[in-house]
Amino acid sequence: MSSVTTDYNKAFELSKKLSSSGNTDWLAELRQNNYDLFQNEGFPTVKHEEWKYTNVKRISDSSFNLPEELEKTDLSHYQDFINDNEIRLFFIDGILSQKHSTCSELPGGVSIKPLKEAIKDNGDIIQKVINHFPTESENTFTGLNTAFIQEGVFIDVAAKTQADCLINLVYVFTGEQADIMTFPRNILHLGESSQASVVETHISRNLHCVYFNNSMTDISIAANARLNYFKAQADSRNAFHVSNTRIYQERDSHLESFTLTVGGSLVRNNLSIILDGPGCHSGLDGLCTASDHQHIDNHTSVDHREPSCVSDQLYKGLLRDHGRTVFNGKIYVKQKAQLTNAYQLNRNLLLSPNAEADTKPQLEIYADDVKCTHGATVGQMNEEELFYLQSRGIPKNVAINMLSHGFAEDVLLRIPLEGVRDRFRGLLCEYFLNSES
Amino acid sequence: MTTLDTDSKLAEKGYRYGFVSNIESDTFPKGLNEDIIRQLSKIKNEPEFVLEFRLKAFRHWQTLTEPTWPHVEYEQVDFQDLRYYSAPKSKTEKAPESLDEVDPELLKTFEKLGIPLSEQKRLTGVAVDAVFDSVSVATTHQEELEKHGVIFCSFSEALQNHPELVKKYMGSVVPYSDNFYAALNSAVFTDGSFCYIPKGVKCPLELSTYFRINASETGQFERTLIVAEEGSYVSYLEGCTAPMRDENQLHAAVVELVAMDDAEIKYSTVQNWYAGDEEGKGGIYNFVTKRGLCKGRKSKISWTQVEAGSSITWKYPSVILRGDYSIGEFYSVALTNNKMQADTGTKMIHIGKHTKSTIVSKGISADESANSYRGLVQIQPGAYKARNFSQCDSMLVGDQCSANTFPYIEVKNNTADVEHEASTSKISADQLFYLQSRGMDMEAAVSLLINGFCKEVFKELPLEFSVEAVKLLEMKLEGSVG
Repeated sequence: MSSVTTDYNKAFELSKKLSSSGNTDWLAELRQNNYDLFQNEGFPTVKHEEWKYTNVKRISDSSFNLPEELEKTDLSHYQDFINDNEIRLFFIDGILSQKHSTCSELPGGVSIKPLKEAIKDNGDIIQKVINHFPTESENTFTGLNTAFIQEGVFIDVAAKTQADCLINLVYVFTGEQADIMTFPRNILHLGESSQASVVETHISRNLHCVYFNNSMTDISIAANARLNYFKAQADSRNAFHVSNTRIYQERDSHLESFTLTVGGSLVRNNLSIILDGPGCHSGLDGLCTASDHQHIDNHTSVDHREPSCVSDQLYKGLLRDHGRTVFNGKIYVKQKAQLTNAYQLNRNLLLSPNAEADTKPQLEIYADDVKCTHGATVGQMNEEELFYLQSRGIPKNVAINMLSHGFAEDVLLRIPLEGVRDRFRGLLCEYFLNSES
Repeated sequence: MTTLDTDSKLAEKGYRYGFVSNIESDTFPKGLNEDIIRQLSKIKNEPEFVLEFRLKAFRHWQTLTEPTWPHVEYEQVDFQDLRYYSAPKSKTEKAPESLDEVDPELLKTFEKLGIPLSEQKRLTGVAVDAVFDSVSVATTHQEELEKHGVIFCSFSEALQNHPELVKKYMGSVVPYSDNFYAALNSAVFTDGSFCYIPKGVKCPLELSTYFRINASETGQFERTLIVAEEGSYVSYLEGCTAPMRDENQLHAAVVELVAMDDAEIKYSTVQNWYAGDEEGKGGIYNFVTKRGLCKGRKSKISWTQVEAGSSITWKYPSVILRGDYSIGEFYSVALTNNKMQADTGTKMIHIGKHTKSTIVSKGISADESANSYRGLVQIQPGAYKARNFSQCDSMLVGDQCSANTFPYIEVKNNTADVEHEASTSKISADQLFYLQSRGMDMEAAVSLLINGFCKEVFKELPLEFSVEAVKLLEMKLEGSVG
């Protein structure tokens, strides 16, 4: 346990006071239990197997405050996230801005509420979703997030509803408040045979502001439902971001997920999926880039509990300068989960001699009639491809850029929605491909 | 394809090497402290530096705690409830000059194990060092090896006759502070083998050590050191067995290999310690530290292992590729059945330029066993153009067992090329059906398929070992299939 610099006790008391109006007994208890968990565990150190390659000392040694609501904000830099065909929710410095959000005119069957309100009205569903996840999956950061549960949205898609328009959650960090910490928490509930697409973006175009973003999303997908869930993380170059996404899937449900990580100084994404019914499909794809001294860590875990499920993962990493990426993918196949088909591949492209990629794909299999494969590669640009392009008169740096594009495009193409794909490609160019190294 | 006739099948059912030899032995009282270590060192008449090494290791060991990260579950070992020295009595007064002076019961034991030591019967082409509990009984073919300048003897003999060589290399690859079991071994190691291959010599014989645990309530802590000088070559084999007992016994060995410029060491193991009964009762805890150092340019170290015994295995033969253009290889077949648990794999540490490593690991788990591959491939910043290829395949036989893979890949150099592949599957029903439709019975068909699954590894073993390994797997899997 490392020393805690931020006065979390004080912040916790303040947060308790802020949320007291909407507080219910079960929530107060949940918050207190999780705060105790955080107090007991403290921040993990590199001796912890799950944090072997990622040292969070920079987070635990820094001091952060809870944000305040800004009176006026300029969103001119974030126009590309405003599209009238989408349901839009803007969070500014971690606080939901009703002014910039459009969650009044919703298609039938879709209900979106600020989490604060939903806790009062839909407490039972929220509890049900949270209780899907085993307490063992909780760690310091999920504990911390839950202790400070306050901002975020609750999305409920009723059974048999096809929510056609994209639900766009945007977390903007303006940089006007220094050293803030935010704990956004989203709860998604998809009823039977429903369908929805959600994109969650964490972004700051003020490249130098420092903040600690500890986000968390809990998702429950009922039988036969289908969810597209995309997450982009384009925080400021000095930001710390730890995210936990937990997804629970029931019989014959279908998930396509994508995690893009281009920003942040120290980033850790935990994505855990529980396949708790036969015939589920789970696609987990991801792309991350690391330049300067960025440290990007992706942890995924897929728990095959029931037979005949498919999980398919492709994670790619592009590294430059002193960038460092970590990938750890776990696949568990429980004894009951016969006929599982699990596939996992992690590929990393090192563009500079100082970059470092650590990868740890792991399989734990307790059923015999399964097909599980995983693979990992770390390598550099193919010299022949580079030579070919150069021999056609393309300058080396352009050629490298083209090939990097190609490397990324392969996984970007797995995003089924074109609009989202274009937006993610744009972020990739802005933060990595076209930015100076 | 080998078909076992029914008679030999019955005879081989169970663990063939599970007998106990009735040999009077001198043993130390239970417990571990500095006095025991001093006494051990005295009885072996060791040079001063060894005692110092032991004590340093012991003091360090006391500060360590047993590792809990392996994917195995077992009852903790009470290190004070073990005897740290056990030697057949006849040996303790004065070392026998020739085999005639060795207790015939001992020779019989090794004969029964298929390792005849006497002049007329001994294996041609293989020099054997036979280690019984804490001491080496005999080393064959020594004269012939001496002609080529090869030193092959027990570790205790090496301490008497070649202390300068031992001093130079002991602990240079696996320092006493390396890990919990290596520290324990460094404090209480008893015997083992020592080989030294001088410059430019291709060792004319296969060298081999056979380890046998016999006494109860003891642990075996052997230490092996192989040094291959410039341009030399040696192939070394290791085999091990132990009696069937209800209690667990500890085996914590340290093996160090050093390869200089252009030297090559091939180290093969067929590990068949007693694995406990069907209920998982008894068996050996095999906690071993094995590491090779490719010190010179273009040196090569190759580990081949067939792990078929031990109730708990915790073993990661590694190679440190320090010399430029050096090569490390790891070929492994790990079979677990009943309630065995194995956590095994390798580490390849690339330091030098143009270093290359290959990992091929085949895990087979049957019954209620757990079989894990755990490996590290580390490319350090200076390892320009390093190359690694890893392949780990697991096969599950039955639905109560588990197969796990935990590869760690750390790349700190962008010119490196690292590939890792792993798969898990079961024996294909189609293939089984095909073989059965050709008149082969179920067991023969399964054994043929398993044999094919492990082929890549078996072909790396010396011929006699390869045949034995195939038989061993067949025997172990009997009754698990169908």
